[in-house]
Amino acid sequence: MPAAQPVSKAEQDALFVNLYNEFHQPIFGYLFRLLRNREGAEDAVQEAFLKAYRALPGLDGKANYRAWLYRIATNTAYDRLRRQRLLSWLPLLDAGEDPALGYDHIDGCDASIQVQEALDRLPLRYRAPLLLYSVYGLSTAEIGRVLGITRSGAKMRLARARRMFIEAHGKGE
Amino acid sequence: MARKARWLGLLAAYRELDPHERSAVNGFLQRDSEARDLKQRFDQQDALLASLDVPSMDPAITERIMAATVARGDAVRQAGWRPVLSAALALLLLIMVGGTALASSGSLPGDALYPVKRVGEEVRLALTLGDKARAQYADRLGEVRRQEVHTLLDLGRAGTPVEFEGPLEHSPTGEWMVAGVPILLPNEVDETPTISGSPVHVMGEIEHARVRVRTMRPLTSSAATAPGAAEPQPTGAEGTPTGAGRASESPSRGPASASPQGGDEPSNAQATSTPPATRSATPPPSATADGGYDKPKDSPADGGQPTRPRSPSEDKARPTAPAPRPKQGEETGPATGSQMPSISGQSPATTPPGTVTKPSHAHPQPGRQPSHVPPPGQQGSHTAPSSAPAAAGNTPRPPEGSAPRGSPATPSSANGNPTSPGRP
Repeated sequence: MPAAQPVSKAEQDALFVNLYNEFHQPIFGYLFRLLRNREGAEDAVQEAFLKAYRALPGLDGKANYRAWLYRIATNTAYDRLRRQRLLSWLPLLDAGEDPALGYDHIDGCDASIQVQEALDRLPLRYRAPLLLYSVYGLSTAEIGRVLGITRSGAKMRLARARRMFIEAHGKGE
Repeated sequence: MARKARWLGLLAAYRELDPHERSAVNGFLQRDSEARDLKQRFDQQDALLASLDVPSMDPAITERIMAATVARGDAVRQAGWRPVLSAALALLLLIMVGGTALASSGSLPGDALYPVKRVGEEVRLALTLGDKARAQYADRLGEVRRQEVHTLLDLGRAGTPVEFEGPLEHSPTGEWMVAGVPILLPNEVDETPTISGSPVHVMGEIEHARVRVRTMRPLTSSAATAPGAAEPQPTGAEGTPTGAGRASESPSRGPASASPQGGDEPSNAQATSTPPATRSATPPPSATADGGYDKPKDSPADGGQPTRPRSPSEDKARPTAPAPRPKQGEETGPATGSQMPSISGQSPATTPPGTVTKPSHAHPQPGRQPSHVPPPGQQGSHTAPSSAPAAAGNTPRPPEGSAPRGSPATPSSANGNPTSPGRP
């Protein structure tokens, strides 16, 4: 991961390309898990990386790029979910029929489906730290930066998320 | 309970534990079967979550993102210069417009920047708030127009089109003037009446130290912007107002319309038939207030039908005492000569107001020459002294006999006789 702050546009572009190549697929998976929709996740990835590209020149050279990118992705997902939640109040829209809200199951075994369903039962504020820790390998300190909370707060939220997931997955079983 | 929560927090992030914490947790796990079970569930949980399949992202998304970021980088970087460039262009435009406006302020008719000056004046006039302020600025603009004409005459820029306003005057030398500017009336406007002393709008062009009039139309009194066009002054001989206004109300012919007697005074033939000291119904304010020109004698007066009834206040405002005369015996009748190119007068139906009659002078003039020459015996009996007393009492007058362009003419000529358009 590049650490030096780019000074020229070429360096910034090179840094962005490196970050994109390294993180676009994990972030897409993270957004897919949060949004439960492939098209929405693709749009969110595009939006998130555009935001990242615009904010890259002002970023501190010592910044944690991974946490920074996941933070942008998380905020983008929150914004999209917030908009979807507002749209769901429209009378002509049925949340069950809205493809943006429906869970986009991928092909897999029953165990994977159960895990996915258990994950989906978690509130977003607990789903995100669990995914970030267990799937994408972020530390609790990084999770704290992503979610805008302290490290101890991230630990606490992660512990609760784990317990909630166990309960949700046990019900599914 | 709190101890259990602490162990739960440590187990939730087991991989982050440093060696010291990890050894402590491992000791606890060996002692507590429930904690061991939780640890196994967490490890299983991580394995399950990590094993979730994630669909691969569409490659087109990557292309779109790259096209929207790196490929557009130049445009994005240039966007930072856009406000600076816009501000610089705005400043440049402001300097250009301001410089042009400043440079055009001294332009004269015929100059390239003169339209800019006029447009700027119109804009400023339109943006002037308040009727009083707008009228004052309009007056200033009228003065600017007259100054421009004077400057052009001084420079001798023949052929330059000009446009200005002012009171129609008649100089002692027999010239027609508008706001002190000598004018040449074209033949086309012959036989068309207007009022001497009334404010007129002139369009013409510079020609031989004069302005050759192409069109001349009267202005309403409110629109008159001539200097000194303010309060009507008593101008009549015998203390009764006459003068320019008299001309307006008398449907007389102008000096061009020579009397049958052929005298040099246009009004001598019918002066006796005209009631003396007839009060002017519409005294041209400029004629008296300015006092700067000698009113042409009234043409053969026909009794002078007032075009506007006078109000009692106006009557009171006009003194009735005899006004001083320049010379005794030089006036024989009412000062009706102020109407040179008469208007309205005899046949309003045939001579619509607003047009100019050709002043006829006995002496050769570059422009129109009055053709009416009074008989010798009536030399001193027909002038326009009506304006002289008032003018002399109100405004300084130039030396007699001198009628400088742009300056008020004397009420009488150098020989002491009042001048008139018909006087040679």
